[in-house]
Amino acid sequence: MLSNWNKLVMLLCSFVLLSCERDIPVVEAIDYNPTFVAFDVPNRFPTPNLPADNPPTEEGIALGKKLFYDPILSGNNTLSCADCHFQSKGFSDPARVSIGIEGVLGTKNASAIINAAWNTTNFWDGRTISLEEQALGPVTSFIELHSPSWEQVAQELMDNSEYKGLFKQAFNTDIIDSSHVVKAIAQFERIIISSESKFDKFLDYEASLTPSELRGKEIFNTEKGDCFHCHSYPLFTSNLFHNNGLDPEGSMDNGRFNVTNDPNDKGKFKSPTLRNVELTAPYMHDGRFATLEEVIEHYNFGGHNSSTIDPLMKKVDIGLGLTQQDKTDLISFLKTLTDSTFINNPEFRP
Amino acid sequence: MYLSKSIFSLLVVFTIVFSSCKQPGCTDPIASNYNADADKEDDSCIYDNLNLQFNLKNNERAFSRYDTLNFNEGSFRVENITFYMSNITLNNTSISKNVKDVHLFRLDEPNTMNLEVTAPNGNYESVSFGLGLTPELNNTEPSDYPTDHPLGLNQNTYWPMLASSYIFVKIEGKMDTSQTSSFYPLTYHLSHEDLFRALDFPKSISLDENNTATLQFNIDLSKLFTDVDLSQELAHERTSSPLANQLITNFSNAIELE
Repeated sequence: MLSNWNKLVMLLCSFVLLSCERDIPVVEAIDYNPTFVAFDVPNRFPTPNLPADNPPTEEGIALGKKLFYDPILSGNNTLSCADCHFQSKGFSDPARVSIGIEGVLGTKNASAIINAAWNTTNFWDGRTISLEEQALGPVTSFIELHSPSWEQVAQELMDNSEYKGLFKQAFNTDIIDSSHVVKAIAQFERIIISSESKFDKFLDYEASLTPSELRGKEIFNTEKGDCFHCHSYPLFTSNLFHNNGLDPEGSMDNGRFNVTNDPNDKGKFKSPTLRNVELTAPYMHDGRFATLEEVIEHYNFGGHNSSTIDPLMKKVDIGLGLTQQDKTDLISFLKTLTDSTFINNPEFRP
Repeated sequence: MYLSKSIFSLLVVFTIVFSSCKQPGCTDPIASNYNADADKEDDSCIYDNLNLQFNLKNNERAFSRYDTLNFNEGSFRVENITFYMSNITLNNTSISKNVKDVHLFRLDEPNTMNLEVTAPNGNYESVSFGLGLTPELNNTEPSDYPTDHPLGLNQNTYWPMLASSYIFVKIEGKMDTSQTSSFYPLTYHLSHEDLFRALDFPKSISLDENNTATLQFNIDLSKLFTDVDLSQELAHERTSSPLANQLITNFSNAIELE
């Protein structure tokens, strides 16, 4: 039996407690237990912007990798993401343009997936902002995986008992939809990080560059080669859109114009990363250059002037004036961006 | 004894309960009424009582991205202009109040052309800022910041090699010096520590919580190429060149406060 005094104490305490706003979070009962993974930012890289609604988990990343390598996302279960993004090629496609499930030729060279966590846009024309949004397109695109609909893909995954369990573990859901699929793939893509090239090791005093590589570095980072403006360290991409003079006025691919509808953006494409560039041939949005030598020859020629040529293409119609030795040195330097740890990383394999 | 124990227990409970209650107030450090003791936001914050608005001009005329400047030696189509302002300060005889450490103006990002800041109420006699980055800021690098920060990687304003530096001013476009509508790329990137310019603009500024003051800065691009030899190229080098110094002086002179 409580005394009157104790009752009074309890009453007052209850009153005070109720009047004080509670900040204790309401925890909903959950029946899954994902293992959250801290994003590992390489030395000298900035912290990327990661979506708050898709925190990486071991379960999500593993599911994303499985989906990336599984042709189940394609209309006839014959083609996976990995069939156009080969790890040995820096997750790019050695084909000039990728080929869809019905043999339909695409129009662009598949972009390399390297350090995509730092992408500010995706695709050559930057039509998506997030990696989640990016992963939505190819699944139903008629020139790519060409599934009839996302609903059909989701149903196929739900009919698969293994996937059903994996989605439950990753996202605590019994109803799979496109948002879960793209979140998982994006989680996997964000861990595809390349930061251990010879050049990175050089900056860490763990490797030395040859005289040719050092000369190439100087050419790369000065106006002599003028590569650095669009391909600066550490990502070796500006994440911006440029017309680098591939085509004259009137012959240009729309490029970024398709997204912005701004005529000033015609012929502009996102500058790709040059990390692992030795492996990511062919080059340019349409894969027109088969070798690094051809790429450098384009810039050495100067490119075509046009109304949307990038102001950074200061040697258009004139050319860089590189000697054969300069070109050799520049390529030597570019090859220091190859990251053998990256292309052999077992974490990225199926 | 019984009573004193109860009173003691009551006091303990009250102490615990009240100490767990949060102090309401404005918890945002950039608000003008920020309360450092508050740990519960009560939506009382007062923001942005000073706007710095930047307008591009060609003499007296409004100027926009992709417009063309015409002058005796040629025509220049402006495609992008960026510049850093650092240590933006309001001054009177007794104080100099820093209201913003760094701001990056980007012509291709219209939202950067209007800078909203919070400043203590009062009367000020001038506003000052550095064109470019103070040495302290210029000695940092993009990996020190979030990618979208004015000094972050996504701004593409850092030249990492040789005498590494942020690019204080970018002037990018296409020039026609032949008067035949043959425009060719022209880019000036000004990126050396010694190109920093401290600017001060006398102006009577009165701030109170009821009004937002706006300072209109005009950037008269017609002054950009004064005494500039357009046949000269400007490259990223270890030292600043006379051309770079002339351009930064011209850019400083182009900024006027209405």
